[in-house]
Amino acid sequence: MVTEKDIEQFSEQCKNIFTQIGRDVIGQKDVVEGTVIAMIAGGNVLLEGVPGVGKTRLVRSLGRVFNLPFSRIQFTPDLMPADVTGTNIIVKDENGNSKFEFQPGPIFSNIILADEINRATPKTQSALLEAMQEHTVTVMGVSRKLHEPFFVLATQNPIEQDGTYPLPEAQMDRFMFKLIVPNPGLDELMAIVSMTQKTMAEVADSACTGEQLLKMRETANQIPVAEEVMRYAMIITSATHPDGEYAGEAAKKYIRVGASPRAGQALISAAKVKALMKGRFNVAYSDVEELAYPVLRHRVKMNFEAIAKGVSADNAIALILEEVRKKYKNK
Amino acid sequence: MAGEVFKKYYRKIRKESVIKSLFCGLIIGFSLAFFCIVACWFAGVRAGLYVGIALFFVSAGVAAPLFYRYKYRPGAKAIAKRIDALGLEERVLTMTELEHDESFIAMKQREDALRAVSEVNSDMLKLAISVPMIIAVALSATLGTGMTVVSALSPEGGKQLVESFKEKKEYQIGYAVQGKGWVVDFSKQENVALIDSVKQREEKREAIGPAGEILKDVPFPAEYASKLSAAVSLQGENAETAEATIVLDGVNDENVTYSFTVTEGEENPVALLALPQKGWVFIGWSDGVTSPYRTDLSPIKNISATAIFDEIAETEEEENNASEGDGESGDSDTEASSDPQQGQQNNPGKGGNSENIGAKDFAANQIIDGSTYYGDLFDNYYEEASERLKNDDSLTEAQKKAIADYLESIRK
Repeated sequence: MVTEKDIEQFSEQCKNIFTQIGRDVIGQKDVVEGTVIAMIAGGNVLLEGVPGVGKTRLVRSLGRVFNLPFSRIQFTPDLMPADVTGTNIIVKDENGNSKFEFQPGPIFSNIILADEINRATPKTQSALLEAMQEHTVTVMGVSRKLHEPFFVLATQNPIEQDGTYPLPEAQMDRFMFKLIVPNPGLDELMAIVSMTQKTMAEVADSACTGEQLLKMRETANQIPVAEEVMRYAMIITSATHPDGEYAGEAAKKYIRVGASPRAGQALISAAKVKALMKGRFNVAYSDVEELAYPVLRHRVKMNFEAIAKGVSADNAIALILEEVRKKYKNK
Repeated sequence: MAGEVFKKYYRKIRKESVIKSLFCGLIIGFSLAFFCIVACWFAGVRAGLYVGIALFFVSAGVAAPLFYRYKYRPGAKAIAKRIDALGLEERVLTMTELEHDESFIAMKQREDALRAVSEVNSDMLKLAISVPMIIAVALSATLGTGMTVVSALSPEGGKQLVESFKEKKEYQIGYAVQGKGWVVDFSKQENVALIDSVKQREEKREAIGPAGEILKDVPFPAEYASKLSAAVSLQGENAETAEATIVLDGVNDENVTYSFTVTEGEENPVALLALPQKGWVFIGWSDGVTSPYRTDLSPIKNISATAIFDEIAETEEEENNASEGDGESGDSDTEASSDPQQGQQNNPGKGGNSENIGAKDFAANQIIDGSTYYGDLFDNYYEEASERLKNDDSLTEAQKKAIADYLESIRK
């Protein structure tokens, strides 16, 4: 049961989180907010950006801010699944007998930074699937629960696609958000350079614990969603399917495969967190529309015509939102 | 508490709903009235105007409440949405749904919503009537009212308009003249003076010749006065003096044909009178009309008619001249007395008992108007010819019988 205190703490902790992250990460306001929303909502995030824009630094800062153990996995083509999940190794007990002992892999942490996840083989990428969705790892038939809260923050480079393995659809669907990390602006760049010239050390302090984060999640989940708003969010999700009932011209023209029901779940969960962050106790249409981009951009598959015309997922989502807004909002 | 919030906005939103319902009713009313009046107008139904007006009131009166009841009546959700449109981010809508929820978060949400509502001014809520609706009302009102006015001003309806689109036949009307005479058109306005003078002169009419001369002594039967009166009533009273319009002039061989085209359904605006020159007689029209006065008001086929005038026979004229100069002819009779046969040949009529018909009374000098009976004239001639035949000793009996048989045959 949510109390007044929980709500007050939520607001205060949100403020602290952003303040502390801001000490290590210059700019990237939308990316930071999206990442924090996803973490509070219990989702995983895929960060896409060119090298050097601060993806890793952001994740490391999050680890410190939330005072949670942090593991970094650098995905390479030769990385094996056991390198991620851990494996059984033969050890000698006190009697000198050999036995198998499970050596946990780096995935047994709270925050996992899967750096350049698209460089690993699909087999290794799939090692993350179970962990991301169910927060368990099964090795040699034995399932082990991961620590809560558990997040996977993956990064990938949009350039240098040679020798990479695009993430499979099933894995992409398990990321709540895909956030595009842009290049910093001139002022931000100057601030970054000024800061890093003095010190490269990360100075963010802890703003909340893991338990507090879980409590924040519980509080956000209590935020009510009006039926009209829920319906609006589901219509947006359904409108991405070109053969669906609510498909508009944009979906039929540019999208090959639409978003799964996980997109609808992610949309509502994230919208609740966003509404509470803004100090509101209900989800609004604007929350749903703003979060549609990070939720849907990695879940819709563009068709050949879109690729040929250079229509990105964000363009298609914008067109879909426009059509849904005209037809169904406030109707 | 939510109810108090709603009260402030309910009146305004209800007013908007009433206006929208009324507009929809008017659109339906005007549209139905328009189509009804148009249909009746083209069909020539005079009562269409009243039916259309009644239909407008009935349909608008029924449609407006129905629209309010089933489409525009503001429910709680609709009011909440309208209030949220003032920038309240679905607070009121959520509050409406959580009206009976007593959980902490629901109460918190209500507090937040009420606080936000209190910060906005209810005057910010404007009447939202869409431009297409206003245009539809204006358009339907214009069409409906316009058609009502048209129908009121032209009760005959649009039949004539429809008729005008139908392909109509055209008929060729042609008149000609044969012989020495004129054909005058009474339908021309210029003939009003002529008509007026005729009305004043009941027995005689003065025809105006092509050179402007007055043709006198042209008796005009009284029965045509009524026809001329009808022509006058058609043209209206006008006492102005003007020359008559001679459309065919057979005397001077000018304008011997008078042709024009008449469209089906239109009236042929001519009223013709055939006038023979002195010494000539009107025989009749070539299409069988015997009256010198004719009108072909609504032709249903091509018309081609020639006014036929014939010259009066010279022997009759000479007899008139002979009867006028008895003194002179007596000398010639004396000279011929030595040769009775010659005298008789020279003056066949002299020995006869024929009456001396004066020039004035001779039929050739009268206008042949269809009412003249030629039977009497022929009988006189026949008696005269029979008497001469009987008294003519120069012919053999066989010759006499042959002539008598011939006369008898033509008499029959």
